[in-house]
Amino acid sequence: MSRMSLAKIGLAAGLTAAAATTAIAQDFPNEPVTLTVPFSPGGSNDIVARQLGLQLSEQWGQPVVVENRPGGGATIGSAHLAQQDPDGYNIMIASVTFTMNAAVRDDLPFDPRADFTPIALIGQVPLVIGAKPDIEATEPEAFFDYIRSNDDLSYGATGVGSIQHFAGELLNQAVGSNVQVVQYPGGGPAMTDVMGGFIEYSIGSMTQMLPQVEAGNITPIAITSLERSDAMPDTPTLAESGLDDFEVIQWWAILGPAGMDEARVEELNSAINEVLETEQFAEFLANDGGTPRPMSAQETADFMAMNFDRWVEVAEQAGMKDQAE
Amino acid sequence: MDIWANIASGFDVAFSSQNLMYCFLGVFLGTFFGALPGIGSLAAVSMLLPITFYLDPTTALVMLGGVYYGAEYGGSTSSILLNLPGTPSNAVTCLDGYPMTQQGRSGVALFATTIASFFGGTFGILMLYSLAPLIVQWALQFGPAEYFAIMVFGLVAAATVTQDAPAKGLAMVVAGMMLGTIGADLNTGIARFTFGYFELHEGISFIALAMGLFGVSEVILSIGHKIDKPFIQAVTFRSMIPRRDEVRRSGMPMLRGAGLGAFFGALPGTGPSIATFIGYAIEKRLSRHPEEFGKGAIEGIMSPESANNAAVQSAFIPTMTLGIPGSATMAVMMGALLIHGIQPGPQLMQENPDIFWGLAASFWIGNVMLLVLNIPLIGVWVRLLKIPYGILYPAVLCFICIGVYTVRTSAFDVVLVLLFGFAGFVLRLLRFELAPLLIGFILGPMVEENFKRAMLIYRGDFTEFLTRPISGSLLALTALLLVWTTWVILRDSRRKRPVDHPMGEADD
Repeated sequence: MSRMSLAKIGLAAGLTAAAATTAIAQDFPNEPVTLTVPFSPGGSNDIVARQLGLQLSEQWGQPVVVENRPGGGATIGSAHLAQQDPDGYNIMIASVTFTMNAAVRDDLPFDPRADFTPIALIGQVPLVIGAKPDIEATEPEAFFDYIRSNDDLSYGATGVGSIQHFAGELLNQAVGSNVQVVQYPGGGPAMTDVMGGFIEYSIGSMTQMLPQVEAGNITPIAITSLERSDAMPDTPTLAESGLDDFEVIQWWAILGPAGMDEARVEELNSAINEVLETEQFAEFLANDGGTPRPMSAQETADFMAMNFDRWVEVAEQAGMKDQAE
Repeated sequence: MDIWANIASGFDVAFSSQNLMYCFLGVFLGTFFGALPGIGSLAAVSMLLPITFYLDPTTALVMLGGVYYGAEYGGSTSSILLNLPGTPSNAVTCLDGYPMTQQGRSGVALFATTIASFFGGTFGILMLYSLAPLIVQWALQFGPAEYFAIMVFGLVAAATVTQDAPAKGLAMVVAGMMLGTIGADLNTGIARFTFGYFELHEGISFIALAMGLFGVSEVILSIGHKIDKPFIQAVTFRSMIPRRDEVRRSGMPMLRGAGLGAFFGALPGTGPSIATFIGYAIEKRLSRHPEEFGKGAIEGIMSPESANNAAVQSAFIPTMTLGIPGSATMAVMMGALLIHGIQPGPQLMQENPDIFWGLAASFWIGNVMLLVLNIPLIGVWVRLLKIPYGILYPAVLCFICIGVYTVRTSAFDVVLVLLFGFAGFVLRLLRFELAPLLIGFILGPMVEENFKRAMLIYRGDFTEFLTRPISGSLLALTALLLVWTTWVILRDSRRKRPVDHPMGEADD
């Protein structure tokens, strides 16, 4: 509780500071910009943030400092950003889990909808249903039958309310199956148990699945975006395999603290979109099966709002929060 | 044969002047950071990661790898000289290394651990060279039930690190396991014992716990205490040579340590610290002079130092062949490759053979450099003891705080390390041993996590633990170990009682 109010005070202080400096200099940015990553170095958020930061700093001629503030399942870094000046010099990378966390946790020290300004969407990467190497049902329809008709199966996810967990429960709902979720501390350990045949499948990011699929360690069943991916053109989508509209994607966005000046948001949005349009950035994402997805600031805000609503609904249907009580 | 061509091309890559230079820079910084108490490989590698974005990917990993294994070499230095572990995986080395310093034999200890480190490192690299694909296949046979069994084995084996009061040792193991439960529960997401602190959501930082208990408590102990300065010998090369019986007693512990280290290093999620604790416990079990342990037994430093160096080398096996990092430090290093668009994984050996073989070659070159670098440095390190404690200890405290802060960029952890320092101080005054607490802290959560996972997968069927070949045999081994330990305790207590010899020094 006290932390909550502290965050609010910090936010209020930030707002007044912003009001005091309404005369924003024309040449933004004229000092280093801090890009907060609420995770440890080396993860997908960190890597995307660093590539974006690198290209933004080239464009601006100003350093972009990537600052890792891990901990508390991204709450520490996010709470930190919410308390910064909304002057455009403090931005943060957030992923789809930012909107999922809001649906399963009620101990967040900030309001994920109200305390942030959506600035831009970066890109997206589909998830892959990666099954154990010796699975017999390799076609989606046969696979659905298999998981529907066996009640002693398990799938791996990376924690309550993780994207893998949401995707898994959505699949259970869509197929009418009852596969047991087993949680792992990360995508890597979950995949090793799939490779070892201890669990049936895990629905992981294409980034992590791709090398294992290429090596034959994991059998790809389907991907979770609406369209096929260039990185795995032979793997069907769930939507085309009878599960209409099934879509769960990993995406990254750039957020600022609440109360940002609209013009500043536009400046940042167009700078980021300029990076997204470069060949270099597209190639960088394509390496792992991802694609840039430029959006205006308003579209980003709508997209995030839609995500917030959707995950609350899924979490309720699957009783994901009940598990936590 | 193909493999020889690969090895040759690897050395070609490693011997390029740029790679040699960065290799040296890496191992030098690694030894240096490792020797500074509190700053371990994770902190050092995280600090240096941004520099490597401007390097060629192979060179980047050559340097970061050098820092990583170099820290294990350096880490034993402060364990031996100051009773302050340089990194958590050197904590066990304090137990017998520091007594050697008190006996004026620090030169011998430092020399011996350098040799053990080199041996362990070389062993780990040989594994990486020859058996990497095999080891990975075999590591995949370890599922939740198998992990559970091996962790239980580790707990039972390690419970004997305790010197003379089994009940106190057990209490410490349990205390460690309880500390390990702090944080969000994986299966429910419920925060356990976090008292509303988000900083505790991912559990207590292992580095804060280890450095607080072992490092800060040592500093506090020194306050107002006139520590008898250990006798400082003139360090000639002669004075570094171990006694003949010590040489004889070093071989097998070194080999066993290397084997254990290579095993645990290759198993994702375990790592060097576990290997050192179990190695120490096993040596104490097998020794004909268990009473010498804790008083400067050479086996007590050879096994852990060989183990942690073997483990850091074999930790590259899952990272490079599966693309699955076994530890936090490895995850950071994988990030260094990913940022260059190289996905470590099963394809790495085919698609980027120069990286794989070049790295393996450079690791060995780095180990040779460390050997050459560390032996002349022994004289320098020993002279460190001449620094007045009034200057040395505040500096040590600073390094510990910096190291702990860097790992999670958390000021909260700095407060924690100081709290654990006071706790460690009190526990040491009460003659509790701290190593078992660390073991409980590492293994306890892994036991719990894997037990729950296995129970979920096997739908609550306990017999799976016994009928699965690997976990079944490991549990049988654990049972044997328990029976044997009980028998030894009963035998000793029966022997001891009539003689009424409090020290139990049964010299035959």
